[in-house]
Amino acid sequence: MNASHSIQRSAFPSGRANLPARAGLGLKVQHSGMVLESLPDVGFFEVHAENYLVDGGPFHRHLTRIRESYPLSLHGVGLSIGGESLDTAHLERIAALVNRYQPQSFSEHLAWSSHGGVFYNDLLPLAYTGETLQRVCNHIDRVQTRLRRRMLLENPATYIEFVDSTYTEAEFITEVTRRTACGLLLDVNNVYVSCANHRRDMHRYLRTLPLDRIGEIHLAGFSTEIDGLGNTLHIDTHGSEVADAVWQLYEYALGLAGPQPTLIEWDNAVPALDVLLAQARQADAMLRAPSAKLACA
Amino acid sequence: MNTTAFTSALLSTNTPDGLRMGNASDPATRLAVYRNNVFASLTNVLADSFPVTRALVGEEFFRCMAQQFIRLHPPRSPLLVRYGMGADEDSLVVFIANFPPAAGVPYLSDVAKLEAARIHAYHAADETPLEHKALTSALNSSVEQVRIRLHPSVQILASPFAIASLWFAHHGIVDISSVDPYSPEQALVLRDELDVLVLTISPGDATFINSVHRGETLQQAVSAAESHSDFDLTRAMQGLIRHRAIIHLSTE
Repeated sequence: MNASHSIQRSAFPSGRANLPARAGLGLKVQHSGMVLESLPDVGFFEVHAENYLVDGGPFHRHLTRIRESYPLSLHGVGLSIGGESLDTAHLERIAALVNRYQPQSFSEHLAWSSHGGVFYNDLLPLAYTGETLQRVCNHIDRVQTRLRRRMLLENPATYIEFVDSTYTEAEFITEVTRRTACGLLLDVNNVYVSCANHRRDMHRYLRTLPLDRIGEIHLAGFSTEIDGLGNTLHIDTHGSEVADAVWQLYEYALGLAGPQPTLIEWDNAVPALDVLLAQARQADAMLRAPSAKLACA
Repeated sequence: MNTTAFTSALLSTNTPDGLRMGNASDPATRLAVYRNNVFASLTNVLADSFPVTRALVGEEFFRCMAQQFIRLHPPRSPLLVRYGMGADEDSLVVFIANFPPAAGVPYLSDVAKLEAARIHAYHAADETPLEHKALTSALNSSVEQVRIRLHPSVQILASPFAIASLWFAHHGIVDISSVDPYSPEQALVLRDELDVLVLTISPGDATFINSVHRGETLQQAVSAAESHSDFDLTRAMQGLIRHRAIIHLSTE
Protein backbone atom coordinates (compact mmCIF):
# COMPACT_ATOMS: atom_id res chain seq x y z
CA MET A 1 0.00 0.00 0.00
CA ASN A 2 1.36 3.33 -0.99
CA ALA A 3 0.55 6.28 1.24
CA SER A 4 0.22 8.61 -1.71
CA HIS A 5 -2.80 6.65 -2.89
CA SER A 6 -4.85 6.70 0.27
CA ILE A 7 -7.82 8.51 -1.25
CA GLN A 8 -11.07 7.69 0.48
CA ARG A 9 -13.63 5.80 -1.56
CA SER A 10 -16.16 8.52 -0.91
CA ALA A 11 -13.86 11.24 -2.24
CA PHE A 12 -15.25 11.05 -5.75
CA PRO A 13 -18.91 10.69 -6.50
CA SER A 14 -19.65 8.47 -9.47
CA GLY A 15 -21.53 11.26 -11.21
CA ARG A 16 -24.89 12.93 -10.74
CA ALA A 17 -26.48 9.51 -10.99
CA ASN A 18 -25.18 6.20 -12.23
CA LEU A 19 -26.00 4.72 -15.59
CA PRO A 20 -29.10 2.54 -15.33
CA ALA A 21 -28.61 -1.25 -15.16
CA ARG A 22 -29.87 -1.63 -18.70
CA ALA A 23 -28.46 -2.11 -22.16
CA GLY A 24 -27.05 0.95 -23.91
CA LEU A 25 -25.64 1.65 -27.36
CA GLY A 26 -22.68 3.47 -28.78
CA LEU A 27 -23.99 6.51 -30.66
CA LYS A 28 -22.92 6.36 -34.28
CA VAL A 29 -22.97 9.51 -36.41
CA GLN A 30 -24.96 7.77 -39.14
CA HIS A 31 -27.67 6.85 -36.61
CA SER A 32 -28.03 10.20 -34.85
CA GLY A 33 -30.95 11.41 -36.97
CA MET A 34 -32.89 8.18 -36.59
CA VAL A 35 -32.24 8.04 -32.85
CA LEU A 36 -33.57 11.58 -32.43
CA GLU A 37 -36.67 10.83 -34.49
CA SER A 38 -37.55 7.48 -32.95
CA LEU A 39 -36.07 7.81 -29.43
CA PRO A 40 -35.52 4.04 -29.13
CA ASP A 41 -35.97 2.37 -25.77
CA VAL A 42 -32.37 1.94 -24.64
CA GLY A 43 -30.91 2.61 -21.22
CA PHE A 44 -28.16 5.03 -22.25
CA PHE A 45 -25.85 6.11 -25.06
CA GLU A 46 -22.07 6.11 -25.06
CA VAL A 47 -19.73 8.23 -27.18
CA HIS A 48 -15.97 8.40 -27.58
CA ALA A 49 -14.89 11.62 -25.90
CA GLU A 50 -12.23 12.43 -28.52
CA ASN A 51 -14.81 12.52 -31.34
CA TYR A 52 -16.54 15.41 -29.59
CA LEU A 53 -13.48 17.59 -29.07
CA VAL A 54 -14.59 19.82 -31.93
CA ASP A 55 -15.83 23.41 -31.79
CA GLY A 56 -19.40 23.06 -33.07
CA GLY A 57 -21.57 21.64 -35.82
CA PRO A 58 -23.77 18.55 -36.09
CA PHE A 59 -21.88 16.41 -33.54
CA HIS A 60 -22.59 18.77 -30.65
CA ARG A 61 -26.08 19.63 -31.91
CA HIS A 62 -27.09 15.97 -31.98
CA LEU A 63 -25.39 14.95 -28.76
CA THR A 64 -26.95 17.86 -26.90
CA ARG A 65 -30.41 16.72 -27.94
CA ILE A 66 -29.69 13.07 -27.23
CA ARG A 67 -28.38 14.03 -23.80
CA GLU A 68 -31.77 15.64 -23.06
CA SER A 69 -33.44 12.24 -23.47
CA TYR A 70 -30.85 9.70 -22.32
CA PRO A 71 -28.18 9.08 -19.69
CA LEU A 72 -24.71 9.42 -21.23
CA SER A 73 -21.46 7.54 -20.87
CA LEU A 74 -18.33 9.37 -22.02
CA HIS A 75 -15.65 6.88 -23.02
CA GLY A 76 -12.13 8.19 -23.48
CA VAL A 77 -9.76 6.58 -25.98
CA GLY A 78 -6.89 9.08 -25.90
CA LEU A 79 -5.75 9.81 -22.34
CA SER A 80 -3.12 7.07 -22.46
CA ILE A 81 -3.53 6.22 -18.77
CA GLY A 82 -0.82 3.56 -18.99
CA GLY A 83 1.62 5.85 -20.81
CA GLU A 84 4.76 7.37 -19.35
CA SER A 85 3.19 10.78 -18.94
CA LEU A 86 -0.32 12.19 -18.82
CA ASP A 87 -1.22 14.83 -21.42
CA THR A 88 -2.42 17.69 -19.23
CA ALA A 89 -3.83 19.69 -22.15
CA HIS A 90 -5.87 16.68 -23.22
CA LEU A 91 -7.15 16.16 -19.69
CA GLU A 92 -8.28 19.80 -19.69
CA ARG A 93 -10.23 19.23 -22.92
CA ILE A 94 -11.87 16.14 -21.44
CA ALA A 95 -12.74 18.11 -18.30
CA ALA A 96 -14.45 20.77 -20.41
CA LEU A 97 -16.44 18.09 -22.23
CA VAL A 98 -17.44 16.42 -18.96
CA ASN A 99 -18.51 19.80 -17.68
CA ARG A 100 -20.55 20.49 -20.79
CA TYR A 101 -22.44 17.19 -20.99
CA GLN A 102 -22.45 16.06 -17.34
CA PRO A 103 -22.27 12.38 -18.29
CA GLN A 104 -23.29 9.72 -15.80
CA SER A 105 -19.99 7.96 -16.38
CA PHE A 106 -16.47 8.65 -17.60
CA SER A 107 -14.22 5.73 -18.47
CA GLU A 108 -10.78 5.05 -19.93
CA HIS A 109 -8.54 2.05 -20.61
CA LEU A 110 -5.75 0.20 -18.86
CA ALA A 111 -3.50 0.81 -21.86
CA TRP A 112 -1.38 3.49 -23.47
CA SER A 113 -1.69 5.13 -26.87
CA SER A 114 0.71 8.08 -26.83
CA HIS A 115 4.47 8.10 -26.49
CA GLY A 116 7.16 10.62 -27.44
CA GLY A 117 4.59 13.06 -28.77
CA VAL A 118 3.00 10.53 -31.14
CA PHE A 119 -0.56 9.23 -30.83
CA TYR A 120 -0.81 5.64 -32.07
CA ASN A 121 -4.61 5.32 -32.05
CA ASP A 122 -4.51 1.86 -30.53
CA LEU A 123 -4.82 0.57 -26.98
CA LEU A 124 -1.31 -0.70 -26.40
CA PRO A 125 -0.30 -3.10 -23.61
CA LEU A 126 1.86 -2.44 -20.58
CA ALA A 127 3.92 -4.64 -18.31
CA TYR A 128 2.32 -5.08 -14.88
CA THR A 129 5.08 -4.06 -12.47
CA GLY A 130 5.41 -2.01 -9.29
CA GLU A 131 6.58 0.90 -11.39
CA THR A 132 3.68 0.83 -13.87
CA LEU A 133 1.23 0.34 -10.99
CA GLN A 134 2.51 3.52 -9.36
CA ARG A 135 2.30 5.38 -12.68
CA VAL A 136 -1.23 4.22 -13.57
CA CYS A 137 -2.48 5.07 -10.06
CA ASN A 138 -0.86 8.49 -10.28
CA HIS A 139 -2.55 9.18 -13.62
CA ILE A 140 -5.95 8.01 -12.39
CA ASP A 141 -5.60 10.16 -9.27
CA ARG A 142 -4.93 13.17 -11.47
CA VAL A 143 -7.88 12.41 -13.76
CA GLN A 144 -10.26 11.90 -10.85
CA THR A 145 -9.03 15.02 -9.08
CA ARG A 146 -9.42 17.15 -12.20
CA LEU A 147 -12.81 15.72 -13.18
CA ARG A 148 -13.92 15.66 -9.54
CA ARG A 149 -15.53 12.32 -10.07
CA ARG A 150 -14.77 8.63 -10.02
CA MET A 151 -13.64 7.19 -13.34
CA LEU A 152 -14.01 3.64 -14.57
CA LEU A 153 -10.96 1.72 -15.81
CA GLU A 154 -11.47 -0.85 -18.57
CA ASN A 155 -9.65 -4.19 -18.63
CA PRO A 156 -7.78 -4.51 -21.96
CA ALA A 157 -7.80 -6.99 -24.82
CA THR A 158 -4.18 -8.05 -25.26
CA TYR A 159 -2.18 -10.14 -27.68
CA ILE A 160 1.15 -10.18 -25.89
CA GLU A 161 2.41 -10.26 -22.32
CA PHE A 162 5.70 -9.01 -20.93
CA VAL A 163 8.34 -11.08 -19.17
CA ASP A 164 8.85 -8.09 -16.83
CA SER A 165 5.34 -8.38 -15.36
CA THR A 166 5.25 -9.19 -11.67
CA TYR A 167 1.47 -8.92 -11.25
CA THR A 168 -1.23 -10.80 -13.11
CA GLU A 169 -3.59 -8.48 -14.95
CA ALA A 170 -6.46 -9.13 -12.54
CA GLU A 171 -4.22 -8.49 -9.51
CA PHE A 172 -2.96 -5.30 -11.11
CA ILE A 173 -6.49 -4.02 -11.81
CA THR A 174 -7.61 -4.94 -8.30
CA GLU A 175 -4.70 -3.03 -6.80
CA VAL A 176 -5.37 0.02 -9.00
CA THR A 177 -9.05 0.16 -8.01
CA ARG A 178 -8.10 -0.29 -4.34
CA ARG A 179 -5.48 2.46 -4.34
CA THR A 180 -7.37 5.01 -6.44
CA ALA A 181 -10.98 4.10 -5.61
CA CYS A 182 -11.73 4.12 -9.32
CA GLY A 183 -14.42 1.86 -10.69
CA LEU A 184 -14.18 -1.04 -13.12
CA LEU A 185 -15.48 -1.05 -16.65
CA LEU A 186 -15.70 -4.79 -17.20
CA ASP A 187 -15.27 -5.54 -20.89
CA VAL A 188 -16.47 -9.12 -21.13
CA ASN A 189 -15.31 -9.43 -24.73
CA ASN A 190 -11.82 -8.33 -23.68
CA VAL A 191 -11.84 -10.92 -20.90
CA TYR A 192 -12.72 -13.56 -23.45
CA VAL A 193 -10.21 -12.41 -26.08
CA SER A 194 -7.29 -11.98 -23.66
CA CYS A 195 -7.91 -15.20 -21.76
CA ALA A 196 -8.24 -17.14 -25.02
CA ASN A 197 -5.05 -15.57 -26.40
CA HIS A 198 -3.04 -16.22 -23.24
CA ARG A 199 -4.75 -19.50 -22.30
CA ARG A 200 -5.99 -18.17 -19.00
CA ASP A 201 -9.00 -19.61 -17.17
CA MET A 202 -11.53 -16.88 -18.02
CA HIS A 203 -13.93 -17.71 -15.20
CA ARG A 204 -11.16 -17.58 -12.65
CA TYR A 205 -9.86 -14.35 -14.19
CA LEU A 206 -13.34 -12.84 -13.90
CA ARG A 207 -13.75 -13.92 -10.29
CA THR A 208 -10.39 -12.33 -9.43
CA LEU A 209 -11.42 -8.91 -10.74
CA PRO A 210 -12.88 -6.34 -8.28
CA LEU A 211 -16.47 -7.05 -9.35
CA ASP A 212 -17.87 -4.90 -6.53
CA ARG A 213 -16.36 -1.90 -8.36
CA ILE A 214 -18.15 -2.46 -11.69
CA GLY A 215 -19.77 0.69 -13.05
CA GLU A 216 -20.40 -0.58 -16.56
CA ILE A 217 -20.00 -3.65 -18.75
CA HIS A 218 -18.96 -3.70 -22.42
CA LEU A 219 -19.96 -6.39 -24.90
CA ALA A 220 -18.58 -6.56 -28.44
CA GLY A 221 -17.72 -8.85 -31.30
CA PHE A 222 -14.26 -10.29 -31.97
CA SER A 223 -12.64 -11.88 -34.99
CA THR A 224 -10.13 -14.70 -35.23
CA GLU A 225 -6.93 -15.29 -37.17
CA ILE A 226 -4.53 -18.17 -37.31
CA ASP A 227 -1.10 -17.15 -36.06
CA GLY A 228 2.36 -18.28 -37.21
CA LEU A 229 2.17 -21.54 -35.24
CA GLY A 230 -1.30 -22.49 -36.39
CA ASN A 231 -3.01 -21.33 -33.19
CA THR A 232 -6.19 -19.29 -33.16
CA LEU A 233 -5.59 -15.66 -32.30
CA HIS A 234 -8.62 -13.72 -31.04
CA ILE A 235 -8.78 -10.05 -32.02
CA ASP A 236 -10.99 -7.42 -30.41
CA THR A 237 -12.49 -5.83 -33.52
CA HIS A 238 -15.87 -4.33 -32.45
CA GLY A 239 -17.11 -5.16 -35.92
CA SER A 240 -19.68 -7.91 -35.49
CA GLU A 241 -22.39 -9.33 -33.23
CA VAL A 242 -21.51 -10.44 -29.72
CA ALA A 243 -20.35 -14.07 -29.91
CA ASP A 244 -22.35 -16.82 -28.14
CA ALA A 245 -19.36 -17.62 -25.93
CA VAL A 246 -19.21 -13.96 -24.85
CA TRP A 247 -22.94 -13.91 -24.06
CA GLN A 248 -22.35 -16.97 -21.85
CA LEU A 249 -19.47 -15.29 -20.09
CA TYR A 250 -21.67 -12.20 -19.66
CA GLU A 251 -24.35 -14.33 -18.02
CA TYR A 252 -21.70 -15.74 -15.69
CA ALA A 253 -20.51 -12.20 -14.85
CA LEU A 254 -24.08 -11.05 -14.14
CA GLY A 255 -24.46 -14.05 -11.85
CA LEU A 256 -21.48 -12.77 -9.85
CA ALA A 257 -22.03 -9.04 -10.04
CA GLY A 258 -25.77 -8.56 -10.49
CA PRO A 259 -27.37 -6.41 -13.22
CA GLN A 260 -25.04 -3.71 -14.55
CA PRO A 261 -25.25 -1.00 -17.24
CA THR A 262 -24.21 -2.86 -20.37
CA LEU A 263 -22.98 -1.34 -23.62
CA ILE A 264 -23.17 -3.00 -27.02
CA GLU A 265 -19.94 -1.79 -28.62
CA TRP A 266 -19.87 -1.89 -32.41
CA ASP A 267 -17.44 0.60 -33.92
CA ASN A 268 -16.40 -0.88 -37.28
CA ALA A 269 -18.60 -1.98 -40.18
CA VAL A 270 -21.46 -0.39 -38.26
CA PRO A 271 -24.78 -2.08 -39.15
CA ALA A 272 -28.31 -0.62 -39.25
CA LEU A 273 -29.64 0.75 -35.96
CA ASP A 274 -32.12 -2.17 -35.79
CA VAL A 275 -29.27 -4.67 -35.59
CA LEU A 276 -27.78 -2.79 -32.64
CA LEU A 277 -31.20 -2.54 -30.98
CA ALA A 278 -31.65 -6.31 -31.30
CA GLN A 279 -28.32 -6.85 -29.52
CA ALA A 280 -29.40 -4.41 -26.80
CA ARG A 281 -32.70 -6.29 -26.34
CA GLN A 282 -30.76 -9.52 -25.89
CA ALA A 283 -28.64 -7.92 -23.17
CA ASP A 284 -31.74 -6.42 -21.55
CA ALA A 285 -33.39 -9.85 -21.45
CA MET A 286 -30.36 -11.27 -19.64
CA LEU A 287 -30.30 -8.31 -17.26
CA ARG A 288 -33.90 -9.10 -16.28
CA ALA A 289 -33.25 -12.84 -15.88
CA PRO A 290 -33.45 -14.15 -12.30
CA SER A 291 -29.83 -15.30 -12.28
CA ALA A 292 -28.68 -11.71 -12.69
CA LYS A 293 -30.79 -10.58 -9.74
CA LEU A 294 -29.59 -13.27 -7.35
CA ALA A 295 -26.10 -11.87 -7.27
CA CYS A 296 -24.58 -11.13 -3.91
CA ALA A 297 -21.73 -8.86 -5.01
CA MET B 1 11.31 -3.83 -22.68
CA ASN B 2 10.43 -0.14 -22.56
CA THR B 3 7.78 1.86 -24.34
CA THR B 4 10.22 3.39 -26.80
CA ALA B 5 11.33 -0.06 -27.97
CA PHE B 6 7.70 -1.06 -28.37
CA THR B 7 6.77 2.03 -30.38
CA SER B 8 9.77 1.75 -32.69
CA ALA B 9 8.71 -1.85 -33.31
CA LEU B 10 5.21 -0.60 -34.18
CA LEU B 11 6.45 1.68 -36.92
CA SER B 12 8.98 -0.82 -38.29
CA THR B 13 9.05 -4.59 -38.74
CA ASN B 14 11.30 -5.42 -35.76
CA THR B 15 10.19 -7.68 -32.95
CA PRO B 16 11.73 -6.60 -29.65
CA ASP B 17 12.75 -8.98 -26.85
CA GLY B 18 10.86 -9.31 -23.62
CA LEU B 19 7.49 -10.44 -24.96
CA ARG B 20 5.76 -13.53 -23.65
CA MET B 21 3.02 -15.51 -25.36
CA GLY B 22 0.53 -17.56 -23.38
CA ASN B 23 0.47 -20.30 -25.99
CA ALA B 24 4.12 -20.14 -26.99
CA SER B 25 3.10 -18.41 -30.17
CA ASP B 26 5.33 -16.47 -32.47
CA PRO B 27 5.82 -12.95 -30.99
CA ALA B 28 6.08 -11.42 -34.46
CA THR B 29 2.53 -12.50 -35.32
CA ARG B 30 1.19 -11.14 -32.06
CA LEU B 31 3.00 -7.83 -32.37
CA ALA B 32 1.73 -7.54 -35.93
CA VAL B 33 -1.82 -7.29 -34.55
CA TYR B 34 -0.88 -4.01 -32.85
CA ARG B 35 1.07 -2.77 -35.87
CA ASN B 36 -1.91 -3.59 -38.07
CA ASN B 37 -4.31 -1.85 -35.71
CA VAL B 38 -2.20 1.31 -35.78
CA PHE B 39 -1.86 1.46 -39.56
CA ALA B 40 -5.33 0.19 -40.46
CA SER B 41 -7.13 2.50 -38.03
CA LEU B 42 -5.17 5.58 -39.09
CA THR B 43 -5.55 4.70 -42.77
CA ASN B 44 -9.30 4.43 -42.20
CA VAL B 45 -9.34 7.84 -40.53
CA LEU B 46 -7.70 9.36 -43.62
CA ALA B 47 -9.88 7.34 -46.01
CA ASP B 48 -13.01 8.63 -44.24
CA SER B 49 -11.74 12.21 -44.29
CA PHE B 50 -10.69 12.23 -47.97
CA PRO B 51 -13.25 10.12 -49.90
CA VAL B 52 -12.98 11.96 -53.22
CA THR B 53 -9.18 12.02 -53.10
CA ARG B 54 -9.39 8.28 -52.52
CA ALA B 55 -11.81 7.78 -55.41
CA LEU B 56 -9.58 9.77 -57.78
CA VAL B 57 -6.58 7.48 -57.27
CA GLY B 58 -8.32 4.25 -56.26
CA GLU B 59 -8.35 2.36 -53.00
CA GLU B 60 -5.02 0.60 -53.40
CA PHE B 61 -3.04 3.71 -54.32
CA PHE B 62 -4.68 5.73 -51.54
CA ARG B 63 -3.94 3.13 -48.87
CA CYS B 64 -0.33 2.81 -50.00
CA MET B 65 0.07 6.59 -49.96
CA ALA B 66 -1.65 6.85 -46.56
CA GLN B 67 0.71 4.27 -45.04
CA GLN B 68 3.73 6.23 -46.21
CA PHE B 69 2.21 9.41 -44.81
CA ILE B 70 1.45 7.74 -41.46
CA ARG B 71 5.00 6.39 -41.18
CA LEU B 72 6.50 9.86 -41.79
CA HIS B 73 3.81 11.95 -40.10
CA PRO B 74 2.10 9.95 -37.35
CA PRO B 75 -0.60 11.85 -35.43
CA ARG B 76 0.67 14.28 -32.81
CA SER B 77 -2.63 14.45 -30.97
CA PRO B 78 -5.53 12.17 -30.02
CA LEU B 79 -7.85 14.54 -31.91
CA LEU B 80 -7.97 12.49 -35.08
CA VAL B 81 -10.71 14.63 -36.57
CA ARG B 82 -7.84 16.94 -37.52
CA TYR B 83 -5.37 14.27 -38.59
CA GLY B 84 -3.82 15.14 -41.94
CA MET B 85 -5.49 18.59 -41.99
CA GLY B 86 -3.88 21.96 -41.50
CA ALA B 87 -1.32 23.79 -43.55
CA ASP B 88 1.96 22.50 -42.12
CA GLU B 89 4.11 19.58 -43.23
CA ASP B 90 1.99 17.19 -41.17
CA SER B 91 -0.82 17.83 -43.63
CA LEU B 92 -1.82 15.16 -46.13
CA VAL B 93 -2.55 17.99 -48.60
CA VAL B 94 1.10 19.10 -48.50
CA PHE B 95 2.32 15.50 -48.55
CA ILE B 96 0.31 14.74 -51.70
CA ALA B 97 1.63 17.85 -53.44
CA ASN B 98 5.17 16.50 -52.92
CA PHE B 99 4.41 12.81 -53.49
CA PRO B 100 6.06 11.85 -56.81
CA PRO B 101 3.79 8.86 -57.58
CA ALA B 102 0.79 11.25 -57.54
CA ALA B 103 2.39 13.70 -59.97
CA GLY B 104 0.22 12.33 -62.78
CA VAL B 105 -2.85 13.66 -60.96
CA PRO B 106 -1.76 17.28 -60.43
CA TYR B 107 -5.14 18.33 -59.01
CA LEU B 108 -5.11 15.66 -56.27
CA SER B 109 -3.62 17.90 -53.60
CA ASP B 110 -6.12 20.71 -54.24
CA VAL B 111 -9.06 18.27 -54.12
CA ALA B 112 -7.69 17.00 -50.78
CA LYS B 113 -7.53 20.63 -49.64
CA LEU B 114 -11.20 21.05 -50.51
CA GLU B 115 -12.07 17.93 -48.51
CA ALA B 116 -10.06 19.23 -45.54
CA ALA B 117 -11.95 22.54 -45.82
CA ARG B 118 -15.27 20.68 -45.73
CA ILE B 119 -14.28 18.90 -42.52
CA HIS B 120 -13.16 22.16 -40.97
CA ALA B 121 -16.53 23.69 -41.91
CA TYR B 122 -18.44 20.71 -40.52
CA HIS B 123 -16.87 21.07 -37.07
CA ALA B 124 -16.47 24.87 -37.02
CA ALA B 125 -17.88 26.77 -34.05
CA ASP B 126 -21.60 27.52 -33.92
CA GLU B 127 -22.52 31.16 -34.48
CA THR B 128 -25.90 32.80 -34.81
CA PRO B 129 -26.41 34.38 -38.23
CA LEU B 130 -27.67 37.96 -38.38
CA GLU B 131 -31.40 38.40 -38.90
CA HIS B 132 -32.38 39.32 -42.41
CA LYS B 133 -34.04 42.54 -41.20
CA ALA B 134 -31.02 43.75 -39.24
CA LEU B 135 -28.87 43.14 -42.28
CA THR B 136 -31.00 45.00 -44.81
CA SER B 137 -31.55 48.03 -42.61
CA ALA B 138 -27.84 48.31 -41.86
CA LEU B 139 -26.88 47.88 -45.48
CA ASN B 140 -29.37 50.55 -46.51
CA SER B 141 -27.53 53.15 -44.48
CA SER B 142 -23.81 53.88 -44.73
CA VAL B 143 -22.56 50.87 -46.61
CA GLU B 144 -19.03 52.11 -47.19
CA GLN B 145 -17.70 51.80 -43.67
CA VAL B 146 -19.52 48.56 -42.84
CA ARG B 147 -17.45 45.59 -41.77
CA ILE B 148 -19.09 42.19 -41.66
CA ARG B 149 -17.91 39.11 -39.83
CA LEU B 150 -18.47 35.79 -41.57
CA HIS B 151 -19.27 32.43 -40.04
CA PRO B 152 -16.10 30.56 -38.95
CA SER B 153 -16.94 27.77 -41.41
CA VAL B 154 -16.49 30.11 -44.41
CA GLN B 155 -13.41 29.34 -46.51
CA ILE B 156 -12.42 30.27 -50.06
CA LEU B 157 -10.20 28.02 -52.12
CA ALA B 158 -8.80 29.20 -55.43
CA SER B 159 -7.29 26.51 -57.59
CA PRO B 160 -5.88 26.22 -61.12
CA PHE B 161 -7.99 23.03 -61.27
CA ALA B 162 -11.72 22.34 -61.30
CA ILE B 163 -11.73 21.18 -57.68
CA ALA B 164 -15.40 21.89 -56.98
CA SER B 165 -16.61 20.28 -60.22
CA LEU B 166 -14.49 17.19 -59.52
CA TRP B 167 -16.06 17.05 -56.08
CA PHE B 168 -19.56 17.48 -57.57
CA ALA B 169 -18.89 14.75 -60.14
CA HIS B 170 -17.95 12.31 -57.39
CA HIS B 171 -21.24 13.06 -55.66
CA GLY B 172 -23.28 12.59 -58.81
CA ILE B 173 -24.16 16.31 -58.99
CA VAL B 174 -22.55 16.77 -62.41
CA ASP B 175 -21.46 14.28 -65.05
CA ILE B 176 -17.72 13.57 -64.82
CA SER B 177 -17.45 13.62 -68.63
CA SER B 178 -18.46 17.29 -68.57
CA VAL B 179 -15.63 18.24 -66.17
CA ASP B 180 -12.36 19.63 -67.46
CA PRO B 181 -10.05 19.17 -64.45
CA TYR B 182 -7.65 21.77 -65.85
CA SER B 183 -10.11 24.65 -65.74
CA PRO B 184 -9.47 27.03 -62.78
CA GLU B 185 -12.16 27.30 -60.09
CA GLN B 186 -12.87 29.20 -56.89
CA ALA B 187 -14.77 27.23 -54.29
CA LEU B 188 -16.70 28.75 -51.40
CA VAL B 189 -17.08 26.27 -48.55
CA LEU B 190 -19.38 27.02 -45.64
CA ARG B 191 -21.79 25.41 -43.21
CA ASP B 192 -25.39 26.58 -43.53
CA GLU B 193 -27.15 25.35 -40.39
CA LEU B 194 -25.90 21.73 -40.29
CA ASP B 195 -25.14 21.29 -43.98
CA VAL B 196 -21.69 21.87 -45.43
CA LEU B 197 -21.96 23.43 -48.89
CA VAL B 198 -19.46 23.68 -51.72
CA LEU B 199 -20.26 26.51 -54.16
CA THR B 200 -18.34 27.68 -57.20
CA ILE B 201 -17.97 31.45 -57.36
CA SER B 202 -16.33 33.89 -59.76
CA PRO B 203 -12.76 35.13 -59.13
CA GLY B 204 -14.11 38.63 -58.42
CA ASP B 205 -16.65 37.41 -55.87
CA ALA B 206 -13.92 35.28 -54.29
CA THR B 207 -11.66 38.33 -53.95
CA PHE B 208 -14.50 40.30 -52.39
CA ILE B 209 -15.43 37.60 -49.87
CA ASN B 210 -11.77 37.05 -48.96
CA SER B 211 -11.33 40.77 -48.28
CA VAL B 212 -14.46 40.89 -46.14
CA HIS B 213 -13.33 37.77 -44.27
CA ARG B 214 -10.00 39.45 -43.51
CA GLY B 215 -11.87 42.25 -41.77
CA GLU B 216 -11.76 44.92 -44.46
CA THR B 217 -14.69 47.31 -44.89
CA LEU B 218 -17.20 46.63 -47.66
CA GLN B 219 -15.78 49.62 -49.50
CA GLN B 220 -12.26 48.21 -49.34
CA ALA B 221 -13.51 44.80 -50.42
CA VAL B 222 -15.36 46.28 -53.38
CA SER B 223 -12.24 48.20 -54.49
CA ALA B 224 -10.20 45.02 -54.26
CA ALA B 225 -12.70 43.09 -56.39
CA GLU B 226 -13.92 45.58 -58.95
CA SER B 227 -11.00 45.11 -61.32
CA HIS B 228 -12.51 41.66 -62.02
CA SER B 229 -15.12 41.96 -64.76
CA ASP B 230 -17.00 39.01 -63.23
CA PHE B 231 -17.44 40.69 -59.82
CA ASP B 232 -21.08 41.19 -58.84
CA LEU B 233 -21.57 42.80 -55.41
CA THR B 234 -25.29 42.02 -55.21
CA ARG B 235 -24.78 38.37 -56.14
CA ALA B 236 -21.92 37.95 -53.64
CA MET B 237 -23.86 39.58 -50.78
CA GLN B 238 -27.05 37.69 -51.58
CA GLY B 239 -25.12 34.42 -51.55
CA LEU B 240 -23.67 35.17 -48.12
CA ILE B 241 -27.06 36.24 -46.77
CA ARG B 242 -28.96 33.29 -48.26
CA HIS B 243 -26.55 30.82 -46.67
CA ARG B 244 -26.62 32.60 -43.29
CA ALA B 245 -22.88 33.30 -43.45
CA ILE B 246 -22.99 36.80 -41.93
CA ILE B 247 -22.83 36.70 -38.15
CA HIS B 248 -21.92 40.26 -37.24
CA LEU B 249 -22.00 43.70 -38.77
CA SER B 250 -20.46 46.92 -37.54
CA THR B 251 -20.30 50.47 -38.80
CA GLU B 252 -17.59 52.94 -37.91
